[in-house]
Amino acid sequence: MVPSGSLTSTLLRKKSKEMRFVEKLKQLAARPEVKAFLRHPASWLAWVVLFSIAVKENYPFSHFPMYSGFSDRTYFYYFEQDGEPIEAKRIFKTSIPRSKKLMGNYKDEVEDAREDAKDDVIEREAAKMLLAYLRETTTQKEKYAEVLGKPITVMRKNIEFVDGKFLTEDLEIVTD
Amino acid sequence: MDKVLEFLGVLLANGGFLFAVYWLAKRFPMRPYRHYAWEVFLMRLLFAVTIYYSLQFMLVGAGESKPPEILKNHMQKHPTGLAWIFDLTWMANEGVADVLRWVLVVALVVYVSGFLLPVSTLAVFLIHNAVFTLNNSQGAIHHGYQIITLPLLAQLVVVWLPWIARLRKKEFTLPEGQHMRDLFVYATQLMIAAAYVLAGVAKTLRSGLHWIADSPYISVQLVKTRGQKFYEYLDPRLADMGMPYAEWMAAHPWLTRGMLTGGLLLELFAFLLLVNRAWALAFGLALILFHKCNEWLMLLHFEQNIDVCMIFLGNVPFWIVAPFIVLLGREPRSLSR
Repeated sequence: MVPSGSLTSTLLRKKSKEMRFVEKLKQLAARPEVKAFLRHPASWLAWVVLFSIAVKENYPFSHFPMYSGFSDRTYFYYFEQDGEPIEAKRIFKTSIPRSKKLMGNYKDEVEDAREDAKDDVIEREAAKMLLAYLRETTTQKEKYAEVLGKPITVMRKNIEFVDGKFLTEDLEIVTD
Repeated sequence: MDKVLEFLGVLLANGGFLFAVYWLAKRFPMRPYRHYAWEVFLMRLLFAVTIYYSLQFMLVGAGESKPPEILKNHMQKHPTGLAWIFDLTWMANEGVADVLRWVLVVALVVYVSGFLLPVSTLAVFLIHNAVFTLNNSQGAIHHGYQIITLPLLAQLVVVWLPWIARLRKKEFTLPEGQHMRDLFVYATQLMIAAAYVLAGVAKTLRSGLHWIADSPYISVQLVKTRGQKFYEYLDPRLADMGMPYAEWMAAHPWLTRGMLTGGLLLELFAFLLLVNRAWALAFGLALILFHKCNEWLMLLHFEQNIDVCMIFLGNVPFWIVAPFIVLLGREPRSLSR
């Protein structure tokens, strides 16, 4: 006889609960329509979908979250030199959307390292990291030596839809 | 209250979708159907060309002005997939990129021939997966190449099935009248369908019915994507950042909702492309049109998706030959089921 409230009785209760759950699963799997589904080759599609949702972004799997929600505002980053925009893709061989994704990761890194930092400080630090990465990885160092030899500014363009109109705003983030 | 409505929207959208899947799955068998050897050979040939071109910019580049992109990936600070376990940065080297390119060419030639498929498919999959895993481990996830790696993975599983059965000392049998090539095409199509269903499910899971209600805000994204393109090359033709299109969409929210809901339904019900050849063709063409609309409006290019849809869903060679087979008095293999 196991005394009630003891560790053994708690474990036994937990085990019998688990066994009941497994038993229920077995009963469910034994149902003809479930059996037919599991044997059907197209059921693999459901497994792939569920697995991809679970693992999220782990190449080659992805949960493809692009455009899964909309908002009335957005932004992107671009680059300037001496107050004029520069051809980012030609110079850095990195697209503008990729620069924004990189900024997102750098912001997370800065936030993790300096928990008390304000948003504008985090963004400035991340922009510096982005510029350092782009300068280091570009394969166009010789061709665009003149541009790359001078300071470059990271700019943020905010876009907002207000009262039926699109408003844009350009903000200077940092110059290296 | 907003949160409750949002939750109800998600519940309704996903519940409705699951019910529709259940109802449709009972109506349509969606099983592998028969293919000619020559059409599957052509599929492999065209897919091999697509695979090579998808890797060309990574491993070969285009002259001195465009060295191989993989050379940039000498870090993996934000690992995804296999990069969590293995250091893949050894590939960011000119010599290695050259070797990978030639191994890929040999593997693709063997893959197209149809011999030693378990080995050649494995080699092609490993190279494609490793190169793009490293590329996605740089801190910026790109969604343009999964549509090639995932079908390759599905093909790999199929070609390994008899080998795995042999290793387990079991007999591998297919239903009567079915061939391995039928399963090969079916698994490829299934993976393509899964990619689109996932994209749809991601929307209903996150936003539910709000996705449709908020969809006119796609106009804000349109201004963004066109603006991004302008700042990449400073092309004066894009200086207006697509404002006229965006303003039109914002002024016609119900038309925009209708258009975007069509796209969402196409993604969610992409699994129906498994029904038969005709459905595969219809979905293939619809998905290509969907990508072309995205290309035209948002300047988002998904060439690999278009190629893969054309090869495995459009299956143009079959539809060119099919009338001649009918004229010869024979029944084309599995036009419908």
